[in-house]
Amino acid sequence: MKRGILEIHDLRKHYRLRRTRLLKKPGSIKALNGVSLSISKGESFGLVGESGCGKSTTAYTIVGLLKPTEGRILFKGDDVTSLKRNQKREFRKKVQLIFQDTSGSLNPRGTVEWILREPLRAMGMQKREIKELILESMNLVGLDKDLLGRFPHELSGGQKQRVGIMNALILNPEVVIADEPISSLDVSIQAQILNLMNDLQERLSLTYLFISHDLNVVHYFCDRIAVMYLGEIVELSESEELYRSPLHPYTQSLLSAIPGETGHKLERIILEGDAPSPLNPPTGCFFHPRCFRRMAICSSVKPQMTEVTKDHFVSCHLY
Amino acid sequence: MNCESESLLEIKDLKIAFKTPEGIFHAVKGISLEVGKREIVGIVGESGCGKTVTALSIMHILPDNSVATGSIDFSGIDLLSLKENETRETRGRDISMIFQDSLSSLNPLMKVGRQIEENLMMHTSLDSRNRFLEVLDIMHKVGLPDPEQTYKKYPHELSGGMRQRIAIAIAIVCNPDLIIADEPTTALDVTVQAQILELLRKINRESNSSIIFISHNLGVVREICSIVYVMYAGHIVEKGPVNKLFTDPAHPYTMGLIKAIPKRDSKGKELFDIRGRVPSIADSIPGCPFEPRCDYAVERCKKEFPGFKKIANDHEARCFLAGDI
Repeated sequence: MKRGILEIHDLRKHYRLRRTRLLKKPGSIKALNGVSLSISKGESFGLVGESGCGKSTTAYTIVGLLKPTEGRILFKGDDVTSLKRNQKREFRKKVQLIFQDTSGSLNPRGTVEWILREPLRAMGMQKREIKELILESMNLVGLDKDLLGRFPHELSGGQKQRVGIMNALILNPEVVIADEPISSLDVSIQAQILNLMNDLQERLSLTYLFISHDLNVVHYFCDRIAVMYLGEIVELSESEELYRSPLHPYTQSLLSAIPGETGHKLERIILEGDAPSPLNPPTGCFFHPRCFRRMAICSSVKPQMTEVTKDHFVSCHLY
Repeated sequence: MNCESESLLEIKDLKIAFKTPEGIFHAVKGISLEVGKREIVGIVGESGCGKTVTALSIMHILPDNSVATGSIDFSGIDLLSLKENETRETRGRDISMIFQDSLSSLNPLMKVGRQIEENLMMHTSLDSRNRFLEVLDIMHKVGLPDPEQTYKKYPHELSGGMRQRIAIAIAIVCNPDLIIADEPTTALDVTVQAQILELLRKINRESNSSIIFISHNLGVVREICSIVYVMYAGHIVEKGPVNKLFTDPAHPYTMGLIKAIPKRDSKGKELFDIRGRVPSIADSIPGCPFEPRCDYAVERCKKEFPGFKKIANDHEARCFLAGDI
């Protein structure tokens, strides 16, 4: 594999639970169970999966909002988990996050200008510079400068997300992690934001890690896609290839479950039950209790990631 | 589902306004729609277009500061003119509703089985033994595993999909003629969404209930509904059979919505986006509410909002250019 701008090796995040009984060993929620991926410069990498599969935990761990239990995160070859304070600051400038919930991620008591100014001031920029930079980037994301004095509740959903995007881009990052950036928006606004993000990628040569539960959107937006299930990556491939010939039964069922006209040839597969709890994951392959192609081996042996065709990886005993 | 089916619910010129300290706001501005027996009718629109308020008015559970005028005819009864105690009779028995967020629509302090039973207690004369059996039966029917155990659980002990199944069980236990499902799958994962849609289709087929399916997700609506109404800013702007609406939309707003969804072949191309944003409820618009965002708008659209123009027998849209674009 060639060196990516952002690489994750065997990332694990476990949450210890409180001891329920005195002599019982406390359990732990295994949110991430060894996630590895490598994102190359300039690409859009998609991470899909259902709620609770660890998509957001991955994002938060990369930017340092959560501490990984194990594993390494490399940005341009340097391990960011062991950075010194001032190096960390540099890293945070270069890797930024766009949040899902726009109303929750913008300070309700600050004006748009204050929200945008604060991170710049923390980075030690001069007042004059800050003002110029803010105006310039307002222009970039298509916001009117009259909005600077407004508070978040006075903005529409689309405008709020544009402020969120601006907040991420204003320090000129190289990697932007977008955690469900459009799922709280209306359909007609979703397209606007996707187009904006595409346009910005071209202009600023950004690298995206795009997290979503919507396979159609990820397929549209990303070059490569990793499918997550219960804290693990179960399939990783170039996006067109994944869409055309999904290998993992979970990916197949996800694709077949997209409602409406998708042009997908797959027969509808309706999975039984819900995703199991990460507190008490099944043995063997995590997907086997819901899998429609399970075999005897699946309940006891965990499958390994294998490259089935070129650049198409899957972890399933069928291959 | 044939077009000649008798009508079950007929809404005529429904207007809903809210009185607030800032003034009176009109959320629904005169809509008419019809639901036939055994039909699944979809209402599509973006947030704030008035779809949920319409549903609440059918259920007679609008907030106190609202005024609804017009008529809602439900097999011969005008629901809007009913008194509160009279609506209690129909609500839950003849018409029931499934809400988007099952965690907040279920009572957190009551066992889920009891919550289903409550509806039977209100509307039937079954004794407690038979009610219990009925509840187990309905839980089995909506696909809940191990009904006797699940009966004793509280909402927070169940997953999102299972909670939504409980909400559906409550809604269908009295065999209603009409089920209003307000974004029933929006909070769910795609694989669970597919399960719930399948369940709703089965209910519609087997117990002959009509369903009003409210959603912002065009894909879901396409999958389950036969007739679709598209709402924008408190108005219905287009109505038609689901397939015609999707293959040959007549209103520029519907067209935009369909074009804005990424599809299989849209990769690498710029997505179509509807510029601007949905008008606020406080804006007063003399002409067509979609005019500021419309690519086809002409001078006339600024001043006048056209009535429905027929494109085909059962397909109409409120646009001067409908059928010509």
